[in-house]
Amino acid sequence: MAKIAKRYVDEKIKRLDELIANATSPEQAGAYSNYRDFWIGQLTARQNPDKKLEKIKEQEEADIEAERLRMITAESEEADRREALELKKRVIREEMDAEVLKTMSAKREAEERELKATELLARIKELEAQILANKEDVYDEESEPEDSTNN
Amino acid sequence: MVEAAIIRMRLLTYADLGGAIAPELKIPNSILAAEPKTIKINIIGTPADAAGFSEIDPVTGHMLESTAVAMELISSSADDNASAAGAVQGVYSIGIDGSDDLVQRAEAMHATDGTTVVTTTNLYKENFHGFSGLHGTSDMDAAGNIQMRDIADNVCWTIAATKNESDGSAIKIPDNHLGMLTKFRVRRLAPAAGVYAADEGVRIRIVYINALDGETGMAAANRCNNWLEIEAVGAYQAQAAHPCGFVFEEGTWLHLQHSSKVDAGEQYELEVEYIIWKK
Repeated sequence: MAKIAKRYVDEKIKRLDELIANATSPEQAGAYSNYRDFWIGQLTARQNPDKKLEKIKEQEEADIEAERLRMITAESEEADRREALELKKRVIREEMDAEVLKTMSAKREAEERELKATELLARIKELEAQILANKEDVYDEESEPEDSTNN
Repeated sequence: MVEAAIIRMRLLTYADLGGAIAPELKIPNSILAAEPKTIKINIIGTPADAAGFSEIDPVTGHMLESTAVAMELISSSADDNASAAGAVQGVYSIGIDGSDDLVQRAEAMHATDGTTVVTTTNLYKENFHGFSGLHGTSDMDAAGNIQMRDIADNVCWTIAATKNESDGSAIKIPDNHLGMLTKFRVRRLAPAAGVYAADEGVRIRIVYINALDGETGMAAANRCNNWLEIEAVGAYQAQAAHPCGFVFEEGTWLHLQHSSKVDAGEQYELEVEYIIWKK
């Protein structure tokens, strides 16, 4: 039997109650009671699947909500993870940049130092040369008078 | 296989017939004294071109009540109502009442709206057949499908929309009654042109199910499959069961079955009469 509206069954039961009340014999009342039982059964059969259906629906909704929350959490976790990774990458990159800068700076300093040392060495050599030159001049000046006395 | 059929079933009282009941059968006065009622069935059938027996115009539901109860009358059209402007205002139903009497009662449709259910004031143990009897100005045929059903919505018969007679060719001999077959005649109508040698003719059976087989013996598995059979072969040939007079005991269901290995579209005419009297 197709699904029956509750109102339809209620009306049947109401009419049967009237027929039972006006029955002319116990047998007749019994026959109407059988019909009444039939419709009560229909009502129960109608309600039970509904309740079952309702429960299934509730369960389905709960499952959907749980899945939704799970997905949101997963998305959030994924986003957090990505963010943390990005942060880590950024830190590493910054550290690497700092390291590179540091290395470059040290290299530049070393180069500068080397350059300065070279310059200093050149200056020293120049000065040594000058000193040597001056020293030779001194020797020459000291020997000249000696030579004149001898003459 | 259900074959197309147009059926008329009427219950006539002894007074309706003026006591003239199957005079050729010389029914004993002791039976006539019980004032038997007569069930007349006339069927115009259009068989399929296939052998095998099937019930003629079967009904889907039987009440099988041991106590007479009210029934429900309803139409699928609001126009079938008891107002002057309605289509079918009321129907006649043939059944068994609380006194185990075979009755043909008038039942009114709802006063204004045929789709509103009417609980009958007449009570029935069984209801076999119905036809429209009271008509308004709207139509002489049913505007919608009119159904007589028990209160559990078990439909006993339906007058289809645009028709004025219900389905259902089976009857039951009420308790404390006996039934006698008084007419059983079949005739081929409008045969297709050609030879008839290859066909089996029109075969009709009255299948009777004794109370012994249970009142729920409508299912094929429960049927005892006793039957009376006649057949008509050849063009316009008619055959009647002679002599009639077969008696059915109380509680017996009588069904009509048909088999025709004939040209599709051919028609047959069947007349069956029973008299039923109280023991």
